[in-house]
Amino acid sequence: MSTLKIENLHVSVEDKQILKGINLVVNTNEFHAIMGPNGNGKSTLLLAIMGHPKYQIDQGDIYLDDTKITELSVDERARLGIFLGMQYPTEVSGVTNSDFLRAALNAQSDKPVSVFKFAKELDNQVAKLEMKPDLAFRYLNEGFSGGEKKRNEILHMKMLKPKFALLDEIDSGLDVDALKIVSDAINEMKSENFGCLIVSHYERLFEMVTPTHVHILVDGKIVKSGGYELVQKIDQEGYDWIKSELGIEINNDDELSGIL
Amino acid sequence: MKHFIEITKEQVHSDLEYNNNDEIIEFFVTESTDIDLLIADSAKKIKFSFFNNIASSLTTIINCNSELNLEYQINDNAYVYESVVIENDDLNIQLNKQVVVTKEATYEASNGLFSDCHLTYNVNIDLNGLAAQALHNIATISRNESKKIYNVTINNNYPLSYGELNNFGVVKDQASLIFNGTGYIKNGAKQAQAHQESKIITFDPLIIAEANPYLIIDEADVEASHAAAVGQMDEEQLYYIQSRGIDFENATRLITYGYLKPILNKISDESLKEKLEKLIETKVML
Repeated sequence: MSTLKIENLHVSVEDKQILKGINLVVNTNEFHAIMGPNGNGKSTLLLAIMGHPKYQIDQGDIYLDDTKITELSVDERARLGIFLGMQYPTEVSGVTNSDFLRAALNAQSDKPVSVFKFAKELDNQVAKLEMKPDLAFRYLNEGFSGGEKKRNEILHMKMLKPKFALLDEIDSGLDVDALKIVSDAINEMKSENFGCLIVSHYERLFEMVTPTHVHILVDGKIVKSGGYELVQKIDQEGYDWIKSELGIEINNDDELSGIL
Repeated sequence: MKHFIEITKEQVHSDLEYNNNDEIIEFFVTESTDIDLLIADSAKKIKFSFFNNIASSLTTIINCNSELNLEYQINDNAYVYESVVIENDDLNIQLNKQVVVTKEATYEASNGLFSDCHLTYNVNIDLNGLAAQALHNIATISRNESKKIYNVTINNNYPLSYGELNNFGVVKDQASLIFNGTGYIKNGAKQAQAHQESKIITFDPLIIAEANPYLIIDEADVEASHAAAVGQMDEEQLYYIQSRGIDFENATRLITYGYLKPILNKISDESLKEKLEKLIETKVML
């Protein structure tokens, strides 16, 4: 079993404070859902855990088991077993998806992966995710549709087998059938060696990938944690009840939602 | 059939027919062939006349410190493919090329220029016939103290002529790199096309890097496009690659390699391509 622990995390972007003291413990074999209105720091939390250079940690620490990862570089965190499935995966011209994945696998192991085993595994996963077979050999994300990019993030997760996956709106851009395929793929990962932190706006994803824990993030803080019943409540009532029940003013800052 | 030509200050070794007078050494390519041209030195102009209907490749290897003048006449319906190779790092070269392409003939050049030499590369291509074509590609790395300037001009002088130039460069250290690309469509060159794209990735903020696109169009019924960009390595791209466990150095290598690779893919000589791919690794790594 492994544990991802976030302690009193304060994060700012371009001098604007976004996260104002997040505490969270995610164990393997748990699926945590992070919900909340736009522009309140959900994506920031995931990007900061992964170590995006623009997201500055002002206070607090992140631990993977006994290792403090706050000071580690992005690639070091990844090699320890943290994976971020991005909201907007970047295109990299001239580098094929398959070559890239092989480089990533080689980076996390001492000896090079067997080309044959790799090809077989890749074929297998591409088929399972019902991706077009040529996507593995096209340049990374270049010319992929929105849905193909998201599926490709899941492909990377399946191939790299992280301890913890951070999935940032992995369901946006997916139609119903694709959502089913992606959900199945995430559920299939569930084990003693895998935990997940999922950001999404939609109940539908959480119907298919049932979270063990649900957190509501407002204005850079987790204001309420619970189980699946929170997802249902948000689906029915939105976020207005938070204001009356918890006495918290919600700042729905759409202007910021683009970068957060 | 393959031909070897070596030109030194004093001598010309060639199994291809040529004329040598006071000012010019002129070769006649009368049938389809591959030519390796090694220039060790030359004060004279070197000219190649490619006859009608032939298809030839020319590998131009430059290994001298001087100003070189090359002239290619590519006659009707001929196809000529050229790669310029410079391996030595300590050279200071000015290369001037005049290329004339006539009716339905094609000049295609793909150059991977990764030496640390100083280089001024001037090429002027005249599309002097109906549907004459020129495709000129450069992938280059400028590093250490190297200064490289590429002036590529394609003149669309005839209707239906097609000109395309692609310049891709990487600059680091105290080096400089300038791309000037010009597409000039003359009046009366109806349905001519002029396209160009220049891109430079810079590694260090103090580098001199310019990509200047020029399009001069004196005819209304044409197609033309240009794109030019100079910038540092994309931070989001680096982050994305690193987030999969690949370290900064290897991420940089992947991005640079991927960036120059589309041009290398156009190089037809497999062994040259392989050599250039290896060079990218050694030259670009920090």
